[in-house]
Amino acid sequence: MAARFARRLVLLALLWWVVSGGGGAWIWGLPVILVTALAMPNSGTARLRPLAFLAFLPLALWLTLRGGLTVAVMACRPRLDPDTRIINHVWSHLPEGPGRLFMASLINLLPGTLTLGLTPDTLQVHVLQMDAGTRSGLDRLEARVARLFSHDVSPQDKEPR
Amino acid sequence: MTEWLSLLGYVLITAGAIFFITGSLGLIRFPDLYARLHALTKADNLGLGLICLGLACQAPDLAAALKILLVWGLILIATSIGATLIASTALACGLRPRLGRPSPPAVTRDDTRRP
Repeated sequence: MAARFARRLVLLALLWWVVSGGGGAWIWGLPVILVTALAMPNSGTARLRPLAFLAFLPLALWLTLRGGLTVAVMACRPRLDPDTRIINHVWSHLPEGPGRLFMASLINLLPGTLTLGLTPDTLQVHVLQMDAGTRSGLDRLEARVARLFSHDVSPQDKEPR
Repeated sequence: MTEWLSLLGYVLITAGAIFFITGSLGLIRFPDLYARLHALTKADNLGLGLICLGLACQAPDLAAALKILLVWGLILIATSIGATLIASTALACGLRPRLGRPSPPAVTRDDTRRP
């Protein structure tokens, strides 16, 4: 509880420092930070492991880069023939909760996938260019996100992406 | 050092603009709403990211640079959630996605091979 509060204070102070343009107006900032830290509702992101999240960022950025490149190349091709599919990804690692929402949002930024809907059992995904690696990619991503939210993942899923 | 950063900034901003153009091209050329959302969420986000990174390279101090990157982060979250909301609403309204190859809409779990 105290650790979570301290983490909030640090994050909000950093945010204030950034938004106020380099550490100005702390006389306003400190009360705002304190009140916000106390009044902030407990969201699912509190369960996010900060170090694991930092380690996850480069992968997310790399996948975002690849996603943008794939779509850009496809849009510039003279002939458009995307192998578009809708697939249902069955949840295998993530329990119901913030992890699934995080994964559903993350998928929109990754190469060729778009979340259409979430059900308790599956994630409906629109795939722009279906290939052999799409499903295994989704499985690996789910395992990564599960570890991000400190859910246990079975050992065979622990190979690096 | 500052000149190099400034130059790098221009390179990144140009690359970002190119991605915006390809995103817009995809918006015009892709066959249906769902495919167009792909163009909007991916190419445009990458374009925006590169432009923000380029501007951050030219920012006067660290706080200003971080503020520009914060803008990118917030837009990333908003676009991603917005895309899912648009797609699920379209699906709920009965707008059928155009599927590239003849295949049932919901394929089975092991059907990953191309024909």
